[in-house]
Amino acid sequence: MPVRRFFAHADLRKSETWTVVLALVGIAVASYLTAVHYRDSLLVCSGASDCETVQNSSYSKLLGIPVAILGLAMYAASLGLAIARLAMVELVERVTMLLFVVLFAGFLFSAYLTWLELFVIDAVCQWCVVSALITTLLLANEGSLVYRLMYPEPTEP
Amino acid sequence: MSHEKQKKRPSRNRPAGTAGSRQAGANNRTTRLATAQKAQQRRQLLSWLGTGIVIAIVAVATLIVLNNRGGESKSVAGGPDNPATVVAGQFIDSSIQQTGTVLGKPEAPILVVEYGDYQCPFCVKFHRESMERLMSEYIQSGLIRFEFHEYPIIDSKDDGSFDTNGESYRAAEAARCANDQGEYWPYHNALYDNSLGEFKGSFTPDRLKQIAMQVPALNQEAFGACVDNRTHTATVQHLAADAVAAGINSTPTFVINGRPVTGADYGAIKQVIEEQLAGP
Repeated sequence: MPVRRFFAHADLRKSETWTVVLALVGIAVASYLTAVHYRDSLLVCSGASDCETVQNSSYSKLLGIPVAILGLAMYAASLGLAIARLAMVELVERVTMLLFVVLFAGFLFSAYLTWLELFVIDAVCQWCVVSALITTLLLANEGSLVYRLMYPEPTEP
Repeated sequence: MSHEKQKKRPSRNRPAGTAGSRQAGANNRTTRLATAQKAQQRRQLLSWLGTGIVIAIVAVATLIVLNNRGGESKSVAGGPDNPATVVAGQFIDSSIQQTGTVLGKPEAPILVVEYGDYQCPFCVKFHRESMERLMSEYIQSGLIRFEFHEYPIIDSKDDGSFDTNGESYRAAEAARCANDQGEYWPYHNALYDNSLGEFKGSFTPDRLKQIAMQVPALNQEAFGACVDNRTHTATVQHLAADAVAAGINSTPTFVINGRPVTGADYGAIKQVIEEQLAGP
């Protein structure tokens, strides 16, 4: 039965696997940004890039927590949920909804951060943009999964 | 759960024509039942989704509000953030000897060289928060000589060259123009006190001249000509090359009798000065 289920949901499985892959890439980028944040806390300018300006700005922390760590936490949570969904098929709806909501919040927040970069800090950190794009891709992928859960395609004869 | 039910129901597209009419009726009922179940499930999912989205929006809005409230006061460059405003530079006590780019008694036992960039927020931070303390604790009493070495690191390019039209570079040139008139330190201080951060238009040629007006002893005409004619482009080129050759890769870096200390941490600088004063 689990094998048949797996094949019946092959398409969904592919999208669910994409979430795992994207979350892993997100973890890599957020880890790098976290490292940059702490390196730049050495109170120096190295002329590296705009990332320095962005990461040194007063907006790089939220209630004392670097936003890079918040991103890391979001990707880690997404990864955990995505793996749980692959392992426990019976939870697929609940987990998909939860993932969508988590990623929607992450998307809103990264949209706000990108707005800050463009119009307030006036410097764009390329890896922050990469992170925002990964969050957007994750949200789009989960959005399509939510849609397919609500309107399942009729099985072909 | 509902996923399971969904799997058990017969497919909507299954061809019905081959089956008998009784079975077709049964199929019809099952299909109606399945459709009702599916609609019920969809409503359930939609209500979860709606609740979740509302929670997400409220949570993010709360975070943004909290972030904005904490944001402003944490700014490193606490000074004026409007390029149209120019403020006077920090005052240097007249008892402190000024010799070109060196501050303090020439016979002081310890030489501190700061490699700095006028746009670098951490150099600004050191200037605003610690320079006065360094002056009163060590420079005034003749324990250290303090030399400033311009290093326009923010205008450095990936290939190791420097953008000679960059703000850090132009500011460094202007500082050397003021030095030509023996007014290096007052202008140097005025530059830092008017630094708005990286790439914020702090040091356009016009603003460099406006800042010079805060130093009344400067001959404005000669200063303006020096800035416009790029008199010190080569000087700054040499300063930058020297810094690179000395292995300096961030600003501010303080070289205290040959020992480098990076970053705007007064405690770390003080510690090395004390060690040098205590002797080997």
